[in-house]
Amino acid sequence: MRRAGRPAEPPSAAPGTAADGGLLVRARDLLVGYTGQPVSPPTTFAVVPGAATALVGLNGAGKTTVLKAVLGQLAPLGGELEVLGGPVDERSVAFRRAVASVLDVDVQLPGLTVREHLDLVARGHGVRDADDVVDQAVLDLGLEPVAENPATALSSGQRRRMLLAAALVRPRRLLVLDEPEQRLDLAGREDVVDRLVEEKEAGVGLLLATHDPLLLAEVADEVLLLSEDGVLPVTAAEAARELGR
Amino acid sequence: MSEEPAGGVPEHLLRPVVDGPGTSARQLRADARRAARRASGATLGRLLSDVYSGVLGVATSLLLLAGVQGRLGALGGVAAPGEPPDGVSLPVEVLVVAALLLVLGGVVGLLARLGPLSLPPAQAVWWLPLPVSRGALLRPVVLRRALVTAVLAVGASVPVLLLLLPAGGGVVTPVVLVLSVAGLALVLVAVAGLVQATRGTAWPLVVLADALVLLAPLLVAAAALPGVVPVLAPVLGGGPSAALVLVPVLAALLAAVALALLGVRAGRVPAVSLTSAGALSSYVTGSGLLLDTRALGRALSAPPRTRRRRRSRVTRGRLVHGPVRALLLADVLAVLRSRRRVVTAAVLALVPAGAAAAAGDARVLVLVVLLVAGYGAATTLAEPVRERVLVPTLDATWPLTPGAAATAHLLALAMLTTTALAVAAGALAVLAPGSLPLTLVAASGPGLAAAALRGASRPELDPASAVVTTPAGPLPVGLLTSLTRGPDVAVVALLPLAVGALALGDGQQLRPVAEGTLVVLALLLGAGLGAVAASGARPPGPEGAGEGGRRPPQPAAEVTS
Repeated sequence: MRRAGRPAEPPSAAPGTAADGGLLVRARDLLVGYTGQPVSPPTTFAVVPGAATALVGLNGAGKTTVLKAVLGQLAPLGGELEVLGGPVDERSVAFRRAVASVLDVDVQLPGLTVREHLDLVARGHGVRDADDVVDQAVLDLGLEPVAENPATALSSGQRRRMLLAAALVRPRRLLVLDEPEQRLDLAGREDVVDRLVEEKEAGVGLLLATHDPLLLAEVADEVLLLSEDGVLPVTAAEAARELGR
Repeated sequence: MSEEPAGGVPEHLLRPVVDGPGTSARQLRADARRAARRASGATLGRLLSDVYSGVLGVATSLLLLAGVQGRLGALGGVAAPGEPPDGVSLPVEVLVVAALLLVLGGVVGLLARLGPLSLPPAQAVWWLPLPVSRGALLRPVVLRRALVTAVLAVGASVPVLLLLLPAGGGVVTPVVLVLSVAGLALVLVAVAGLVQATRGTAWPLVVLADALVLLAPLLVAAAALPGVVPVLAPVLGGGPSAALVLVPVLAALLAAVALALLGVRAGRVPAVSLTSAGALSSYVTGSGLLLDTRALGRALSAPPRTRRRRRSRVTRGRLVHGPVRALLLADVLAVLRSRRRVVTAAVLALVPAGAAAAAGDARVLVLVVLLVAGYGAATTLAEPVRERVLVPTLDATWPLTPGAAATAHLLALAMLTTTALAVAAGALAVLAPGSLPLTLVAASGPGLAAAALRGASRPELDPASAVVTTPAGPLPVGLLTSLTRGPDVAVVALLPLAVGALALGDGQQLRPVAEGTLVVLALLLGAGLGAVAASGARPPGPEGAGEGGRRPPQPAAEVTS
């Protein structure tokens, strides 16, 4: 049985693989916000394959807004932003094939069970051994007891696990996660940490917003603290201290 | 403060008194009324204007109905009461009973879905945690629900009877029928309330109401079968008998008892039931005011299934490979696993056959009914697509452009709608052969699917937008455009069918060449309309990306405001 979905194969002529040093995301002085009002200071960061960049900050610091801009769900107010070596085009097939994400929105195919939802996500991406990949993700994320339940009948933590599983049963080069620890119990958070470490080892680039010291310590290679004073690179320990204040 | 604080918390806060000073149900209701008056900001002038609009609207509707009294009976296909029906004609009594079943099922189904007892979200948050007798708080709600039930039942029955019963037939029968429907609706809604008090949900009564609705077209269909009418005639014929007059009397007595019981037991309705029913009522009211039938349909559908399913392999078939097939299967399963959607589409598919059997050779009427019922069925089947248009994140899960996703939705919808129209054609073949060219009915499926997709992808009305004052009250700007988006294409999609139907003579059939040509034309038209609808069904772009959801051109390495 396969261990979850494999990362996406980069297309032969895909941008963002060689000429720019393989950067998956490059943001310089990125300014994001709503109705023309920035919610965070200009932010500069990069995401490279096999590494994780974490955004931390207090509520309202603009972490999720930055992620939305990277995913093309929000137009930046200023600065430079490239994903996969070019401007963000979330409508292109190449972008949708390479970028997987889990934000704080419960999205599930209506009328389907957890396993069916994952089946269709994996098969929709043309995963060859989709059945094995789905079954393994169900096991890895502790979804076996509820795999035949309708997704609408899950608890909030189980829904979170299902959404994470949906991101892991499909090919991906960049994984964008908004507080993946949210609503998970300790065992669930440990499962997620293990899986994200494996993702990095497989060459997937991670961009995540988080408040979880465990994720910061075990997964993040670069931590950026978003605050009113600006964006500071910090260590995981410093970020945990800052968040704990 | 006289009490000794215990651990810093005043004693009187630790020992709340049920219905104590300042927390009586009567006082709370009075406070809520005052707060509602203050919040509404309604002036006497606005109140009078609303009353004027309401009275004018009702009076205009009644005058219109009075003008068409008995029109359906006068179309020729319906046999007058007591007259022996011939051919495929239906006795008017069958239509009256079917229509009243629809009214009864509709009213009870609506009220049972909405609780029937509920509290608006703000009141629920305010009242339910208070140490006040819940029964005393809810008794006025019981009375209001009873009033709403009676008004809805009477308001829906009167137009139906005016339309169906021949003029000059006296007032006794209509009055008895209206009172019977209102009384039975009150009984069933009160029973729904009692079930809600026991189980927290009135879902068994919803199922019963849906069964009544389903029974109506089946009754018409059964009555239209050869040989059935003579059997029914003795049962349905004749004027109001003594037994019929007893129905409203008995129903009123039963309703009084059931409502009294409900008044006693109202306090047992769980808070979660009152709260969720109140939230649903608010959503339904909002959808109704915006005339968003799809949101209304979603709100009134069955609660999400929570039972574990038997492990299915439908998503693991060999053919399920690639984004288009995955999306297509997801759309089809979303419909097939919703009982309400399937039943609604099935009932609507049977309606044209019932109308054709009733209206005889009134082919234009049958075409209009097919247009309304066919588009209604397609719209019901398009509800999952509407959800996907509003929340495009799911489609973005797959490696598909938004245009390709819209086309895949269209394909799923075309399959489902064509199936519904094939059922309609089958029913027409059995109940009213020769009324419409059947292959053309089925071939209109793709066109109606395109219309439903166009309707599903219309922008949401902004309730905060400017309003236009009309005799029917203030209406948001753009309402008409929104309402006609979808039906406009449905009319065009049925043009080949209309040409074929109007070219038919009595008892004639279209020549195969002509029918084949029109079928090809209908399919080509459906494909063309589908392409146009799919191009308009792409979700808007990122927030702040500019008009029409199109992304503004971005330089390769720089994005500026």
